[in-house]
Amino acid sequence: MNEDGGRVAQKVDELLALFDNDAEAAINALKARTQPSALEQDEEVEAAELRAKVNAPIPGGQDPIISVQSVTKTYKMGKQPVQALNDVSLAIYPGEIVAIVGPSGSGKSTLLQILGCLDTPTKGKVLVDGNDITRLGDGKLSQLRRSTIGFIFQSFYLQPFLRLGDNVAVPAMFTGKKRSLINEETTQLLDKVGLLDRRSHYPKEISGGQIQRAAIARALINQPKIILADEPTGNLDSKNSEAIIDLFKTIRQQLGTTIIVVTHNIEVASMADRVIRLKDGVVV
Amino acid sequence: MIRPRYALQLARTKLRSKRGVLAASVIVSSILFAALIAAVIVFTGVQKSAVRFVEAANNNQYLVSITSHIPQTVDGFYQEGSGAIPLETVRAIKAFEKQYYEAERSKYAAAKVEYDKTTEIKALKPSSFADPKLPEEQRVMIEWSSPVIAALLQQKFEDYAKTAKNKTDDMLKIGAQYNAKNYYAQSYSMLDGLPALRLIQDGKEDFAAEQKNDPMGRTADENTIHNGAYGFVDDTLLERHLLKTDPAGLKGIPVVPTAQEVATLFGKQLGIPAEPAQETDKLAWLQLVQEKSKGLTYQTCYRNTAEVSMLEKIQSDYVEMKAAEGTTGYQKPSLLYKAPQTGCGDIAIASDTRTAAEKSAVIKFENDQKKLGTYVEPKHQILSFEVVGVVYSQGLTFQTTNANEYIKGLLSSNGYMSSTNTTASIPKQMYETLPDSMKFDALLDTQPNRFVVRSNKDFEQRVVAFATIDDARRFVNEVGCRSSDSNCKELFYTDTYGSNYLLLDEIGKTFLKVMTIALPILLALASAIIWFTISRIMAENRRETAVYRAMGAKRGDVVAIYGMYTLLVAFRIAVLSLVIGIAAAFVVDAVYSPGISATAASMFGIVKNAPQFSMFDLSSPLLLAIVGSIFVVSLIASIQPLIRNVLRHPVQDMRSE
Repeated sequence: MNEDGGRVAQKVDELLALFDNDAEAAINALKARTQPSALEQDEEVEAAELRAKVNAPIPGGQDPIISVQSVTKTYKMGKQPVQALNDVSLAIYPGEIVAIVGPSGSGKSTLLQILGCLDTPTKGKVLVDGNDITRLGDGKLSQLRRSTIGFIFQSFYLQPFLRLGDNVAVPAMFTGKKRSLINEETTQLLDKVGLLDRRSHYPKEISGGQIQRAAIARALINQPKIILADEPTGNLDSKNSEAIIDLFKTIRQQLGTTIIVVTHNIEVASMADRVIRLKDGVVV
Repeated sequence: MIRPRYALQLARTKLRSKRGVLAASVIVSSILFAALIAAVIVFTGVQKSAVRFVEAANNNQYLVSITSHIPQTVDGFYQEGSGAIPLETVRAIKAFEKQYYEAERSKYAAAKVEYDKTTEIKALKPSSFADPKLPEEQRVMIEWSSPVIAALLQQKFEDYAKTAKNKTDDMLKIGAQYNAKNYYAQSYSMLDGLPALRLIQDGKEDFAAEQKNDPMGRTADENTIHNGAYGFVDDTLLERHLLKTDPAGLKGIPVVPTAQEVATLFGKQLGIPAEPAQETDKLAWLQLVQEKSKGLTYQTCYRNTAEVSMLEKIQSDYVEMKAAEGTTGYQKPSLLYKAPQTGCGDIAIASDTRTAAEKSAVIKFENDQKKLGTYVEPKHQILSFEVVGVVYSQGLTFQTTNANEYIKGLLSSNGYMSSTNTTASIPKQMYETLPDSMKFDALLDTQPNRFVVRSNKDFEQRVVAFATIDDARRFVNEVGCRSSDSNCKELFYTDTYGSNYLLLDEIGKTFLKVMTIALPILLALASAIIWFTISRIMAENRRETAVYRAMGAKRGDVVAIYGMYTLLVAFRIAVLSLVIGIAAAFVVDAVYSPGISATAASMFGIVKNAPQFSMFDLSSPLLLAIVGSIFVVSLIASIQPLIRNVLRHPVQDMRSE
């Protein structure tokens, strides 16, 4: 084994540890690397940084925008009860970029859905922007999602029969804003994500990276305080993934938005201020 | 809450998804609704057109024919619903028969004429078909040729008439209670005595037509002139068929025969071709017949019963001699007559080899008849007629094979236009202006017969005119039974006259009834299709709904989007249904209207300024109701899948991510 080979093996070990010996996740994380040739000194630095982010201290001095307190979530799969989350507690602060990592079935998506007010915990308490979501009705939850949260999905979910501009505008339509105002905001966002010239295109006419950028613009249309992204680079190549990461950084920098990302992508996780690692429904 | 325009924008995008399923359900639903729409358009057109014709034909009057209902116990001997003559009736007939012949014998005795009992015709004859379980006395049938029966019927009728509440005067009083405007004379039956008329053509009588002299074997478009089947009709009722209304200068008895009979009898002479088969050509043909018939006169020969007997003898002697040809020892009848060689000529004796005794027996018989006042001297007389109008006969149709026949059936009624009428009409008021020498009043048979009712002045048939269809309907329904009702319990028979406007009215109601059944069925069917489509579209868009929910859409927003989508689908169905329905009705109208217009115009005799018969009319409010119901049904059909969709937790669909 040469020197490079040794470093790769070491990196794989570290990733396996990070993804709790989930070989598939670790391999995916490796594949997502931008430059295979960059497996040099940076790798070691990056791995060390990741280790540090898992154990990063929680920022103090301000109230968390999201507070998860002893949350347990159990649902039934067929007749079998499945405990997706078990006594999870965490806090996320305004402006943070937090990556949630863990092997498949560890409860990442369930946690994201609860944070996004799409689901409620079986036990425990979740405060989103000061609202206890376990005590809110469907209408209030919808309002909270509309005004505070922006969603980004792995499969984008743009409406195939809407032009890009209209796709971005959809969440704003639910606020009842005037068309002129929505148009103005859409223009700004498309410009921000570099798709202004594609405004009249249909999703099938643009690339996957462009689609995801449009999806990010859509998530931002109502100026949410929080963006929840579920595997945002899962369907993108490394180049487009990098662009998305850069976009997240810019958003946080310019808008101060809190970004919570569920990811298998080591680059994405590297971008985060903090990495929350889940295993069997427990933060580890 | 999402604004309607945004909901509309998002809903419109769904129309582009699952286009095949959507198009199929829109097309199927549209065809169902289009059938309803076409039916409503065509029916409304037919109904309105028919009303236009009815009003034009009847001078905006609604006519009802009314006839007294004489109970079967008066004009017959059968108990209703029973085939056998009741025993007490048998005994009553026998008792009357005994009285009748006793009176006859007294009459003969008073006239000093020898009474021959063998000439009596018994009122009852044994019936071989009677139930053998009946007593022998009851196993008999009526001998209608017996003078006893005619006399008995006359007696029964006279007794009935004394207390009857259904005389002509009664019907006039009742008519007044129903706001009757006018009363017209109308005779359905041919005048007694005139059937002995024979048409004179080319200077000869057509004796071969004798065999057609059977009221049951005739139709309106043939043999009425040939058989002298005439009936009086009020001039007003014939008005639109008349070619001449001024009675001055009439060259004969005014008559309105059918166009078909004029063409058959006088077509060659007048240059009238046979009736065309194409409905669209018939109106022009009718106009030609009218034009050519103007001033047409013809002559008929009246021969009284004595001469008719002589003609019958000519025929029977001929048959006998023909059968006996070559038979040795056969002797020809001693008295042979010769058929007249000129129109209405005398019946001459061809050979007379009677013995003196035979001749004196005949002379004695004639003298006896003269003494009894029953002698009828052989007599014949030429009657001249002038055609003053023609009426189109719709003919007799047993099966409706096409739209024309169906419309004819709808419009036709009893009366002179009907195929059941077998008389040529004589305008009553015009006839009355004729000098006595031209009239045939003296020829009419006044002897009692089994049809005593029809010749009784107290029970004359009438046509009653009403200003409104409602008055006419009430009168028809409340005053009498339909003439087809064999179990009538009312005092009168009442029927629509001239056209079947009440049937049209009834069909309108029936159509509405059918629609009240068909509409919910079709709506349910369409509803199921729409439900299936919307369920499917919603099921296939669950993740999209979940994404909307993740973006902050309330349940109400999702309802608004899919509600709008449903309305868009309904709008497509409504537009397509209207297009298909209107197009279908338009085609039906284009194909059938010209023919039916011609049929209706000729049938009603409205040759000039005839209304157009259209099968296309968009004015029915039912059309709006159908279109409205498309939207209502679509929304109702979407409720269940919509509720199911919005109540579904979005995370269920997100989790499958």
